[in-house]
Order: sequence, then C-alpha cells, then structure tokens
Amino acid sequence: MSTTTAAAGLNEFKVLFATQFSDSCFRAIRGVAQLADAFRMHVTIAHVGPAERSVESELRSFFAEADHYPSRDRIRLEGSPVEALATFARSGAYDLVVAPRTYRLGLPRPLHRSTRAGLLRASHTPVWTISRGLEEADFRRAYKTIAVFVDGREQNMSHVEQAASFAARVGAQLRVLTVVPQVHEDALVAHPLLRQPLSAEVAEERIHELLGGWSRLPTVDVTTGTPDRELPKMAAKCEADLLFLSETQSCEGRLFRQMRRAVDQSPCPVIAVPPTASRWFRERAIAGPQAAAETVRLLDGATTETAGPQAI
Amino acid sequence: MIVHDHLPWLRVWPKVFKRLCALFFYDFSIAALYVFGGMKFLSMSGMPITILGSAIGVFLAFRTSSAYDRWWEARTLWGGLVNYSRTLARQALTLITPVSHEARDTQRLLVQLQIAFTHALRCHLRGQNPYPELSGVLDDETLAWLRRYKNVPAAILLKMGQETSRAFEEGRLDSIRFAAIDETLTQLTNVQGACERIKNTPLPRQYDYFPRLLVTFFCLLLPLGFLKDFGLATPIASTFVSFAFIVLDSIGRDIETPFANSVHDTPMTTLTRNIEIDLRQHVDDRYVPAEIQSVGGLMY
Repeated sequence: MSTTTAAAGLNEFKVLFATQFSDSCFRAIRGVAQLADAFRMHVTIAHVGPAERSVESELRSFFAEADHYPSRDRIRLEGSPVEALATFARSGAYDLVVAPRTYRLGLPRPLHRSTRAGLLRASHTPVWTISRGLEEADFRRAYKTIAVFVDGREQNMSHVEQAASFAARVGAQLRVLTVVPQVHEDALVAHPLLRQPLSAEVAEERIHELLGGWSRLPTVDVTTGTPDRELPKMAAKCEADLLFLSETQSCEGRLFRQMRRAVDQSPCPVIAVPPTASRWFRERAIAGPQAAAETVRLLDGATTETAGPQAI
Repeated sequence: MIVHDHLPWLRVWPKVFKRLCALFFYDFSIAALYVFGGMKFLSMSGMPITILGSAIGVFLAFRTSSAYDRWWEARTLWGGLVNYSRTLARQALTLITPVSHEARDTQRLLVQLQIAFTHALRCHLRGQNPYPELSGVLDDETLAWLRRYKNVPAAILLKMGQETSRAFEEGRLDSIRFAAIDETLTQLTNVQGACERIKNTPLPRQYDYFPRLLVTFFCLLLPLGFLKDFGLATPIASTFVSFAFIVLDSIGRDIETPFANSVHDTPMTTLTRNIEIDLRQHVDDRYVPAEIQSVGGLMY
C-alpha cells in the first residue's frame, strides 16, 4: 500500500474514488467535482495494482484536477480489488465509494461478479455509481432534485434517511418514487406474499404512513409496472440529479451478484445504500446551521430501524 | 487523446462487435441457404456491389475528413490558448509598471485569473463544475462573484478586463500597453467562442445518418456478391470487408466531438496543467504542480 498527500480533516465528507483508469472513471470525474462543490470533501483516489513505477505515475496523473482540491490523497492498494477497497473504505471511515460501471469489452458476462455489488456488501459504505447516463447527465448544475425509491418491502429506511439528509444538505427537493405492479389475476393471488400495495393511492398512503413523523412530507410519484423498467423513466421525468436505492433494490443474484438493470439504466447517478450505513449524513452535520437543523428535523420523525455496528 | 504508438484492439472491438456478430450470422445463413438449401438465385453479380462500395468509400472518406477537421481545429484552438496565456502573463508582468505592491498584486492577479480561465474553459466545455478546482487558484471573494455568472470563463475574462482597466485608470498602464493587453483578452474571447461553436454545433445529421444506413445496406448485400466465388467461406470474407467499412464509419463518429469527455477529446487537462506550470513559474510561485503523464496510453 502506498499513499501520497494525506490531508483529511475532521468533519469532512470522505469520498473514496476507486479507479482502474477506465474511460468511465475519467467521465465520473465530473460527478466527483459536483459532489466536491456541494460538500467540504476529502477525496481519496484509489487504485488496486502492482507496485510498479508506471502504475504510480498513472495514479499521480489520473484526475489531475483533484490536485487543486483543498483535501485529497492518492493511494495504491494491492490484492483483490473488492477486498482491498472494502477494507480500506471501512478502516478509513469513508462516507461514499465512487465506482462507475466499467465496460471494456462490451461482451455479455453472465458469470461476472460485479465489483460494485461486492464493494456495497463488503465495505458497508454507500456506493455512487452510474452507467448509461454518464455521458448525458448534467454535472455542472447544483443538485436540485434528489429521488429515492421506496418499494414497501424495505427492511429499514436507511436509504430514505440518506436521501432526505442529502437533499436537506444541498437544498434540493426530495421526491419519493414508487412502482406498483400491474394488477392482474396473478398479482392478486401474489399480493399477500408481495406485501406490496396494488394501487397508486394505497402506495402513496403507505409511504406517507412510513414518513408520518416528518415535518415536511416529500412529493410522492407513483407509477405502474416493474421497477427495473419504470424507475429510470421516473428518474428522468422528475429530472432527478441523484437517485438513492437500498442495497436490495440495487443488487440481484446470490452467487454472481450484479447491479440491477434499473441502476445501469438510470439517467442520473445512483447512490446504493447498505442498511448498515444509516447514520451517514446525520453524523456528519457539516452543513450550515439552517441546513443541519432541517436535516435533524427531517430525520428525527422518520420511521427507521437502528443502524448496525458497522455504521459510521 | 490516444498517445499509444498502436491502437489497442479493446478500443475498437466494443464499438463494432455487435454489428459484426449480427453480420456474421446473417452471412452464414445466406451461405448455408446457398450451399445446402440450393437457393442459387441468392447469388448476384459483384459489379453493383463494387460500385456501391466505391461510392460509400468516398462518402465515408469525406465524412471522416470533416470530422477530423473539427478535431484538428479544436486542437489548434487549444494550441492557440497556450500561446495567448503565455503572452498575457508576459504582458501582465512586463507592461504593468510595478511601482508599488498594488501593481505587483495586479500582475499576480491577472496571471492567477488566466490560470483560472483555462481551467474554467475546460470545465465549461466538458460540462463539469469548475468551482472545486478554482478554489485552488482564486480567493473566496472572487469565487463568490463568479457564482453569479452562468458562463464562468467569460466572467473571468470580464474580471481580467476590469483589472486591466483599473490599472489604466490609475496610471500604471499607458494607452498603448492597455490596448495590447486588451487585444490578447479579445483573442482569448475568440478562442472560447470558437470552442463553444464546435461544442454546440454538431456535424450535420445527414453526415451521421446516411453513412451508417448505407454501410449497413452495403454489408447486407456483400455476401450475395461473394457466394459464387467463396461458397461456405463467404461469412469470413464478407465479415472482414464489412469490418473495414464499419471501422471507417466509427472513426468519424469518434472524432467529430472533440469536447465530449471521451478518449478522443483534445487533451485539455494536460494542456491546462502545462499552462499552469508555465504561468506559476513566471510569477515565481512556490507551488508548481507536476506534469501530467499519460494514463493507460491516454492523455486527458
């Protein structure tokens, strides 16, 4: 493990930018710059690779823009990428891991294990990711709309908390998105098992119930269909700058874990939140007094389960 | 910008493999129907295909040439920006009379603003938020002032003009020297405008649509002309020729947008860093950033 220019300070929003110097990582720099403008941020650019001179040189030259950021460092790790990055993210108490989707060959990889899904599970840290929308998304403007997906099957409301506190911190509007299944005979039979509302009105009511203690209820958008198909469309329609999903909403598969289609089709970046990261923004109240107060007000009334031991 | 001495195969393959795979299966089906299905009518003379191929070749060459013109113009403009930046720094340091600390501050501020301008222009063209970077170059007050403007590089030029004008009004610049600096600022405005023109004006859509359509049509006809001579080997010969046309089509598409956050971009990050190194050394700055090396054979 080698490192350069360490300058992390207290109460900074700590971001770990995992890169293998791909085109996607280069494009994702714009997303990191957008975050850096919204937060007092410490960014660590991390690469997993051998201790070679060329690798060190590439690491120093990648994301050269960050040299002007008030607080940043670069680190080379060794070993398996997921393990090395996850261990580093945990030990460094990072708030966010930036890991855009990489597509080098373009060939289907049915047995591929997603690095992002592995990081999400092993690091217990929210993962910022994006695929299709990386080229089109507008990273120049400030965050205006933060969307969060609620499907009624949440084990906890960690991702909703994160979305609310993020929105309050950056002064953006919060939109809750939900998708109810198409109603047909099978769905009616499956309903008790799914524990999902089957109409827009019921879904909206259920979400308001869940957020009952909130001082200001967010706008709820409901549509019919399947989340994989509808969620990207809803995010585009409400012009979301960022979409929050829970770990179960963003990953699928047991043996070969992959990010879901909705994540890779999203027009805006997605932050996938593991259940163990529930105190993320709340503990790092680095905003101005008004925004911080609003964050606490929003969160205090929220219906949530408590964080696991790994929460930051 | 790719600076490898060879083009890695992995850069080409993702762009063409879907079309090539589909064509290979199509070619194979045609060959099988011809050889095993006895559908001899599928074979056609090679003459019309040759003529069509030649016409498409000319069309593709023209399109690639137009795309290359845009790419090269972008590179030329950024080469010009390097020169104008050094010129402006030299003018600021030699033409403004340093009779006081304040004059030295103006000199230094103009150089800082010029560094900030190059960073802001790059971010402007790449659709990137410039403020985190500018915070390492400019003070908070100037940053707060810049946030009022949508076009940040243009606002920085305005600020430079205001500073120069102030120096003129205070008698630290005579009218001839003032005009010389103002002329350099005008050139910088022109560079920005030209870059914005390339960024905001795509190649006519006809240049994009018809080559793709014609190449696809040509690739579908190609195996029919090869059947008689190649028989079951048609898919190999046809796919190989199709590859050449598809690659030609994709080259033009790649380089027509030199400010699109791709590996074919003008290496603006590297150029802005080079400008910054030069300018910081001009003002004897204690902090001079390191040069940027290629990353995986690419300069960004």
